[in-house]
Amino acid sequence: MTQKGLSRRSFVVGSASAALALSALAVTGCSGSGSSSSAASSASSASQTANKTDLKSTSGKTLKVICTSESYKKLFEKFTQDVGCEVEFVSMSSGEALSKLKAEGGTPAADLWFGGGIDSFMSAKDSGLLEQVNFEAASRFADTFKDPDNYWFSKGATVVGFIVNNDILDEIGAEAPKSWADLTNAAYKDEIVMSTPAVSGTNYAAVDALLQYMGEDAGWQYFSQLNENIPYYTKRGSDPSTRVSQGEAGIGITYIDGTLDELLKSGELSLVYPTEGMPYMPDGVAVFKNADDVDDAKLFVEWLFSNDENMAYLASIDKKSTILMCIPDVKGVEATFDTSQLMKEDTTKFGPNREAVLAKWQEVTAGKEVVSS
Amino acid sequence: MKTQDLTTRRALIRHRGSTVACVAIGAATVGLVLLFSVDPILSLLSKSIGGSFGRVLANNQQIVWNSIAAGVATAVISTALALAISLRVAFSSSKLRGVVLALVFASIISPPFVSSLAYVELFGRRGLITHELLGLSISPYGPVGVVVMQSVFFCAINVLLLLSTIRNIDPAVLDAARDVGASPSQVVRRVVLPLTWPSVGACLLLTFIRSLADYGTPIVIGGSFETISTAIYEQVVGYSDLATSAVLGVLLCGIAIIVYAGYAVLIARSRKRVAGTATSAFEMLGDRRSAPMRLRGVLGIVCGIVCFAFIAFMILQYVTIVRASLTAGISWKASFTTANYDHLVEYQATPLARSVGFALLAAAVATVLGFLCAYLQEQGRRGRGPARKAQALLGFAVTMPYMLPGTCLGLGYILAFNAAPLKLTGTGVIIVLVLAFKELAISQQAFSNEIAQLDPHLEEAARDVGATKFASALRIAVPSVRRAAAVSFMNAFTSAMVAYGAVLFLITPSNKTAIFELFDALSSGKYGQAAATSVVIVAITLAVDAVLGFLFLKRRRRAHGDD
Repeated sequence: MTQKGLSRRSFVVGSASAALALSALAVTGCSGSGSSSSAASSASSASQTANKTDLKSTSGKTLKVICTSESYKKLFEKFTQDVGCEVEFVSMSSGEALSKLKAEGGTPAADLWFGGGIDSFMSAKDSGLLEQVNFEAASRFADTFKDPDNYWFSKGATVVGFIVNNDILDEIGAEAPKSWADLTNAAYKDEIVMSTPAVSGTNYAAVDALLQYMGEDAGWQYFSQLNENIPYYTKRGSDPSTRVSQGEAGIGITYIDGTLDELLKSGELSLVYPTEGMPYMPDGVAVFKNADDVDDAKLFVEWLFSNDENMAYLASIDKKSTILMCIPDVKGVEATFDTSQLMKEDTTKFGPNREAVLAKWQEVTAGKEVVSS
Repeated sequence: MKTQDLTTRRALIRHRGSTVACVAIGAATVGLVLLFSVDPILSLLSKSIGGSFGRVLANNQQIVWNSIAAGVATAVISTALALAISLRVAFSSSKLRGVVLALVFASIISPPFVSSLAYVELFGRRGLITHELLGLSISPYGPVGVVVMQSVFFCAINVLLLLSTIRNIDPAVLDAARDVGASPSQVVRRVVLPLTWPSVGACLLLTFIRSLADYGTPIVIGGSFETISTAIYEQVVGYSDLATSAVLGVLLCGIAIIVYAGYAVLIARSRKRVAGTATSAFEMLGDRRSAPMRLRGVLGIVCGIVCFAFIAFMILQYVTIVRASLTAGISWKASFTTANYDHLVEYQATPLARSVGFALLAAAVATVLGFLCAYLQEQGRRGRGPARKAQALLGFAVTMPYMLPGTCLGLGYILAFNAAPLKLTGTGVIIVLVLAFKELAISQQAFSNEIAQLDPHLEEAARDVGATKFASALRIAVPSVRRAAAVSFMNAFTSAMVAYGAVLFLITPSNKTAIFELFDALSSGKYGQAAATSVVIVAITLAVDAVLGFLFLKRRRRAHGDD
């Protein structure tokens, strides 16, 4: 139970909407919760002179966006209001977007790619599918949170932890795990749900980061032990959290963000932040090369990252403050977690490593993850 | 003398003009089929050449066997269930028939995936039935879940086919058998079943193909049980490996073609086709004939149990889905909310309207082209050697997109139409086309059935009295295929509303549809929103089909009155 208290307050993200949902918990007080309610107000009062507000669209076209969630609708509406360009969007996973992009043969049907694991963006850049976007505020990004040549930028990060179903753990008489190392405990046999890292960007980050943390040899040994406890690997990133909340398994390795709030309401579930640290996957933004409306897509990138108010608004929609990892000096976003909770990892290796890591992964998990290439 | 000469010449010119028109329309039809049925598949094939067949096959033996095993089990169970239900319903009151047909109809128009979620809620580790009622705690994931759900899901369409076959048996034959002292079970065994075997065979083979292509069920409840279809999904979404996906798609297609050839042979024997699912449901609802006899004995009991279990299962499933659309979380204890429908109104109104628009357009295209293809084929069948061969090829070309799993067809479309001279990607046109050509085979079959029954001398007679070729086709063939048009339109509309795989790659920000949004909600774990979208899709499809069905039935009755 302590984990639940800790997790909710120290990490789940302070921002306008989350603050409302958490106001009951905030009474008990802890590091981030008190300040979270101020995030929105300080965002709206922020009037940095550096902020660019004079961007205007002249194309007369509609900006077409592939994003990872419909909830960005409000951000797009704000863009339309400020810049005068209509936005249409569709939500799909980054894997789907990348396949579609490749099949379209260099004539993408969308202009802007908003959200998704950075490994897909790296792969798209290598395949020559992205457009360079140079703008003044690009220099604000922290190292490794944008492409060195400005082909992609990060708008935050997705962190990985565990979700546990206490009811199921009671049933099998096991304690909740506290660390990655705990997961190989035989008591959890067939109780762990994990998505295949090929499909889930967050779980790819977990695999790559743990390999970096433990070292290649020890890392693969760990995954082959973990494999003993995992009955099968699911094919969608949301499966671990939904299946654990349905009571289909005891422990899920999952992304952790405000969207899990809905599930956590039931009370049977808690979040765990593993003691070795939480792996994270930077979340990308990029413009598609040869797109119909490249100009407005570039305008959007500049509009978002050149104005703290817009980034604070994005943080309130995402219900997390990870934008601060990308642009540390954004005003109006309150840090709601300690970055020391994150695992030390070199995200620039995600792109180049991916193929080899997934090939080895299939070998190690053979029989549960059917090799299909 | 002079005037007669003039009339003849005029007629001649008229005939020549009409022949030109006919040839032009015929050529256009063949051209469209080549472009939108054959070309995408060739594109897919050429992409698959980039992947290594040997390596993919060697690495995927297990999943090929998984697919085949699940397909065989599903085909056998589903057909057996459907046969029992059909027998029970065929020889019972029209009230029971109404209930079963309504459920069957709802099942056919239900989007996939969602019923598998209902299965987990009912039979999962914390399922209502397995855990809350029986106190069990078992994992529902694995091959058993896949086979159970596919069997039930495909049962509906099999019931329609078998029921219409049984109802079409001449009651006089059954009466005669009864008169000579045969018991109802004897009548079933000696008379009804032998007449039904070809349809049973068709059900087995078609169910097998459907099971192979279905990836929604194994992806939700398959667990570690993988099939070719889920492997394709993983290759596309996880590895963006189009070449390997194409190889697996071609492999799937190869198995489907072999099985389909078997089906074609059976169909040729029985002259009864699996077409017009939606319409035949409506037609059978309108069929007020009383049953010629009642089932008794062991057979009656067994069929009765299966039938009522099916009814209970389906009702439970729909209650679960509706309930899920009205709750906030996922478990049985989740609280009631209308948030999912509020979300639907805010986000899904436009995609829903667009889905209906696309589906209506696709249905219109499929119906017009289906008629033209069927007409050309019939002309070819009556012709000499080369014409006969050409019509057989046309039939095969039209059938290909229907057999191919949706994802592969969609992949073929995006590969074929992503560049000039015919760049369609990013438009709504390509979505309408893929939906239309996917169901063209059913439309064409429906028309073929009707046109084949037309007396060829009728058209010749019309031409003898001076009608042009064009006019004779228009006046004779078109009006007599009204029923087929309804079959074609309703089938294409219904499939277009729930077809997901085919449009996966073709959706863009400007033309997202409701079924795509449903799948995205499911993928993001928003089951309540997915259920709400699902409920609304079913309601809209039901309403549109009902309007079409009743219009059509009314006309039928009048036609009967005229006789």
